Amino acid sequence: MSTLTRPRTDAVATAPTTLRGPVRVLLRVHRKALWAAGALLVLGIGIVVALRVWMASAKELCADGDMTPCGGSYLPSYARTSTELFLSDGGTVLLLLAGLIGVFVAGPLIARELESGTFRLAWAQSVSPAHWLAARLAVPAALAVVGLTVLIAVYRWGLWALRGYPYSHLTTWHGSGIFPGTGPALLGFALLAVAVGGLCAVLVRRTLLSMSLTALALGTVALGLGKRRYELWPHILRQGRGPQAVSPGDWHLDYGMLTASGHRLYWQDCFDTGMVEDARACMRARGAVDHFTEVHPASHYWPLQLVETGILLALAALAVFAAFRVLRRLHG
Amino acid sequence: MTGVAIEAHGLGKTYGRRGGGHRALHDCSFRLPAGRVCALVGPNGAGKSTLLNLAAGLDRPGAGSLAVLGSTEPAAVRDRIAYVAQDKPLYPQLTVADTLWAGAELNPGRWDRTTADRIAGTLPRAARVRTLSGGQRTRLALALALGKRPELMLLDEPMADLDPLARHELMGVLMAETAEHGTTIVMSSHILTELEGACDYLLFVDGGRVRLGGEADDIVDAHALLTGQARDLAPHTVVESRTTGRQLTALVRKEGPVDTAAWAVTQPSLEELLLAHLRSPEAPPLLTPSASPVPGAVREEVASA
Repeated sequence: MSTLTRPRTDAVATAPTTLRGPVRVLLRVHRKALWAAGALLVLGIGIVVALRVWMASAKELCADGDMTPCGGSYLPSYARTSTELFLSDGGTVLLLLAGLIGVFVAGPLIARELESGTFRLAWAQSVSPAHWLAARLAVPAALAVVGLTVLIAVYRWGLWALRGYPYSHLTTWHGSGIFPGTGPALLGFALLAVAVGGLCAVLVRRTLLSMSLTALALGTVALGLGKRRYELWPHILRQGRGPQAVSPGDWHLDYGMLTASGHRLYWQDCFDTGMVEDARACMRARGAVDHFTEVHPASHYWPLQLVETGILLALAALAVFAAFRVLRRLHG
Repeated sequence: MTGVAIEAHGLGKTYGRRGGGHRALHDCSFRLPAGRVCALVGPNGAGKSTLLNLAAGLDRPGAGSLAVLGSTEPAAVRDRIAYVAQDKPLYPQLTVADTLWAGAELNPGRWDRTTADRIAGTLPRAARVRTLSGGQRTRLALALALGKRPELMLLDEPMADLDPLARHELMGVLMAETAEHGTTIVMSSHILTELEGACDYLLFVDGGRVRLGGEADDIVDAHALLTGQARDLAPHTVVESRTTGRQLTALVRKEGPVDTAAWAVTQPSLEELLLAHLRSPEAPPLLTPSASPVPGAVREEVASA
């Protein structure tokens, strides 16, 4: 056989086209990180289970909301208030965890190989750069989706125990420390984290620098979404004041008064007058006749979650595309 | 085997930004027939590693074309090429056994476990790679390279970390490999004596291009060391000359029969030859017919396949 006359198409066909080998090697190389991730998963489940057990075992008076036998005052147990406090930030913790996956992808998984030169081991061992990168994005993405789905379910189960009790003000569906951890938006964020980590790593090829860049980018996205989340779905208007205008699950965004023609006047426009009475007078002077509240009702939970997920997935797809383009431009 | 392992036309590679970049290879052309054991020699920074990197398909050339094993895109035949980079990249946290296992996983259908195990030899299988000495790392990297049964082996400074005994043993293994399977081997070094005797082919790289290329014997035969009274050296090409009083010593590239009446003629050693070329950067390059790239040859060969 002559090496010369072997057609190229044949050579391509003999190259490994599956990700099986690279994935198995990747899992073996990062065995310790896998154990650590497993430990974090168990820890997360353990914390929620422990909180629920603690709460269930604590004695509580008038927890059902009927306060007559308690002399008109409701006294939640220490276990309940603690659980509420902890769980009210569970979404933030899960967000951090998802971000951590991205930072790990950016650093030890990709940039460290590019920096130390071990990528050449894989590439010289019949793995194409594209397969090499694909394995390094697919494995953490798959593990993140599976692990975080479990944690989301556990977190929701933990929050469920707090529902239906009076004065439970910390754990609302829209809380900025809760909302990101209760639905598919978290999975979107985790996938974005993996993608951004990969992109930063192939761009700067330095472990620490790409980890910092990834953390910075993900922090910006998380903060930006936290601040602007309410704009992701059109809010609704509740007119009037008093109980009939308030629904328990409402996420209040802004308040103001309507003019006879339906024009909206916001309180903040009249706050510079100083006193509350002055503000009312200012409103009336502008023709206000009725109060209104802009809210997201509880039914907006899924639209908000899904729009956020969609945005995150689109960004993730862009970052993945860019990462492969960069690698291809540099190494073919 | 009558093929071409590597053929380069006007190959160029610049690192860094345009303008201020470092030109590692420039207008580099040569041809390496298959089945040879080739020494890639040259001073530090000559472009040896860059050339091997390109041939292994790890980097893209900035200019020119490079065909490896008949493919105009080296990356497409990476499963038939073995490449051991200078720093012997290995995953430090894996054990020796895990590393060999990884080789099998990454080369499905090609992996030769027996060969890999034989090369790895006495390496403690449970030891982590980070605890290995430089020589042990080299051995493991070579086991990985040979385990995939390559048609072309690219070894960047393979001898640097080895003691003389291990060096001898490794050479034996490589010679057996090429004798048995017709594997083409390219070994780089900045010390010629490391490779002399083992290699039958030579590529001398300096200043980003190949200055001497061809069968080692032919290259030596093409030159002569002349000593005699100072006089015109025409028609021979002078690589280097030195005058001591009326005595002239010159290393020339023979362009016809040498006048043995006027000159005392000796054959230079390969090392003398390379040193003379290093000292005389203006000496024209010499490529023997087998090392000369044929314009358009790659395309025809691929098309005829």
